[in-house]
Amino acid sequence: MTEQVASGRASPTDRVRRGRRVTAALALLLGCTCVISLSQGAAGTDLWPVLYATLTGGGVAQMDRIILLDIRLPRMFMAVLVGASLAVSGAVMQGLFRNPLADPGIVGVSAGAGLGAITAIVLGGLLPAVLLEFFGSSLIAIAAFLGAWGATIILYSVSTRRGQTSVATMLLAGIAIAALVGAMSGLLIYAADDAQLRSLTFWNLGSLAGATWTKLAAATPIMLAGIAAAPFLARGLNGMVLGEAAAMHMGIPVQRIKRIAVLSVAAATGAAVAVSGGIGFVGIVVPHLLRLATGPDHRTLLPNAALLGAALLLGADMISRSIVAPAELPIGIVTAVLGAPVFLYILLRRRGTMGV
Amino acid sequence: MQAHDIRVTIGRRDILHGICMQARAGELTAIVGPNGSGKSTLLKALTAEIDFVGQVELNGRALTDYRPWDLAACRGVLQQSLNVAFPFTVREIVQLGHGAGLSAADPDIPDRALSLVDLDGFANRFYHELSGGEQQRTQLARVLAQVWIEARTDTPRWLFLDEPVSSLDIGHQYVVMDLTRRFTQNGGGVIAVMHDLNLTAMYADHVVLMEAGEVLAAGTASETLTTDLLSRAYGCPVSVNTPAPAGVPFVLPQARARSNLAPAG
Repeated sequence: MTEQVASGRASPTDRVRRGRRVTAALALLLGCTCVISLSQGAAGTDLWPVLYATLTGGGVAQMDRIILLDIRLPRMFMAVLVGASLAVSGAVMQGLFRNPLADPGIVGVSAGAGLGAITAIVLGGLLPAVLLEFFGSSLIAIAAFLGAWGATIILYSVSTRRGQTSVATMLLAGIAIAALVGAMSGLLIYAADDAQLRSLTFWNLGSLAGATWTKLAAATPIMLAGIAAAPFLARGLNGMVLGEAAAMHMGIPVQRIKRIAVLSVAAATGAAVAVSGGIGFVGIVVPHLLRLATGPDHRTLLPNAALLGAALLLGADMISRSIVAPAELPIGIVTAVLGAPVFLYILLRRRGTMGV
Repeated sequence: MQAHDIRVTIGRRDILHGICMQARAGELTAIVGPNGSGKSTLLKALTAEIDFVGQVELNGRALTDYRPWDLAACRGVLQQSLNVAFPFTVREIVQLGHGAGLSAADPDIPDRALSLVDLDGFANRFYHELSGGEQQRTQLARVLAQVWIEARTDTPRWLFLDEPVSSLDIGHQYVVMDLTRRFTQNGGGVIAVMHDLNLTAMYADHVVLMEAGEVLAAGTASETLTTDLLSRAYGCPVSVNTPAPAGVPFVLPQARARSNLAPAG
């Protein structure tokens, strides 16, 4: 008994407990970031007087109401959802590929989603009117989801042999997929007419600036479905850390877990790309920081990744809005500046073990 | 455990040509044979890790009739080498197996399993910082936590071990083999691919000697580990002595017959 105490029973239980404390702290952080992001902006409208006026029944200027309700609020939700989607799909993908470098943006999944979105914009008009009406503004998000799905399936089947994933093959296959998909996107853009080009450029610039309630309504269900699948994957992904065969011997339905993981990554990444363009590195930075803090257990990693991803993207959005105000820096630049060094750091640390 | 007419083809090569074997609960069944004879492939087929033709029954039920989690509750599998992708601690690795078994409700089992494989005090170390032998014992502790050695169940539980002592020093080889014996004494069945014929002779109740994808002989250690059969299987002259006290065979390749490895006690 004394020996068990001496061996420090504390730490791993601590990692679980610390994971829960971190969850609470991140929820608080996200709440604060939300409030700050609502009260800050180029127009100079302050949240508190408006809130006070609304609550006390006083008059609110039409202008302030529009800025808060139709510009800042949907943008805040968009940042939260996209950030959570990107971070969770990064964490799920890294679990699926058993590799901390797997990120939807790096290995071509986002590019696949982009191809889907571009296809929908350029060729969507060829669909029967009934279908167009049925899908409405969700068409781009659904097409992006399908594109991301296809890219993930190709990537997994190329880089995984007998349940073990080769890191080098995965990264190289990602480059190949991104190049191929880029070429196809280029072809579509070449074929696009003026009106389509305008909406393509608008989409391609991405960022969260274009957030509207309509866009949000179209993409939210898909993003939420991708995020909501994550908790059911946690135990399976933990088992797959030892490889697919070992996971199977521990009673994990490996094929089902893989299928759900791929779908969840495709849904979350696809919809996020559809509404915000390519925002990179969130999916690699967030899980990496959390693994350092609370360990690699997916049961704490996945929910924490959703919270931290949301807070991080909201923060990055505030930076992108304020640093060159009243103009805006594309948010992808901010996340890349934060994320690329982390990616390089992981790469350097794993240099010896990658077989390249 | 019954296996009937197991055939495995990898690529265009036939690895196993119709293996039939059985193993009983309460016994240690050792699979021995030269490199490339198909030992590990047979174990992978018996655990449904690879595709095969033929039938495998565990506790009277075809392997294909089990759902994954039911199978995990009644048998644990130790593979030869495992990379762990993320920085898990030793205890977290063992907990992965523990959570998959029938004894998952008892929170003390992971630490007790580590104690059994002589890894007291290692629980909070990182798995990837351990030596090869320590990693192998961690994985054994994980499998033991899954089909807990002391648990009493109506249907026997099974351990499938692929060279469980391959990276271990001689002291820990005995620690691990003693554990398998304890598991069989508690009613479980152990099927192990073995490399060391002396350990096999000391611990195995039933030996399956393989050669070139077929069963050359099966039976007790004294029946299978004979000069004639081993020389044929391994393609090199082997002499088998049977020392009087323990009554078990003692095997050394004849070409290097320097018998300074006599077992202590």
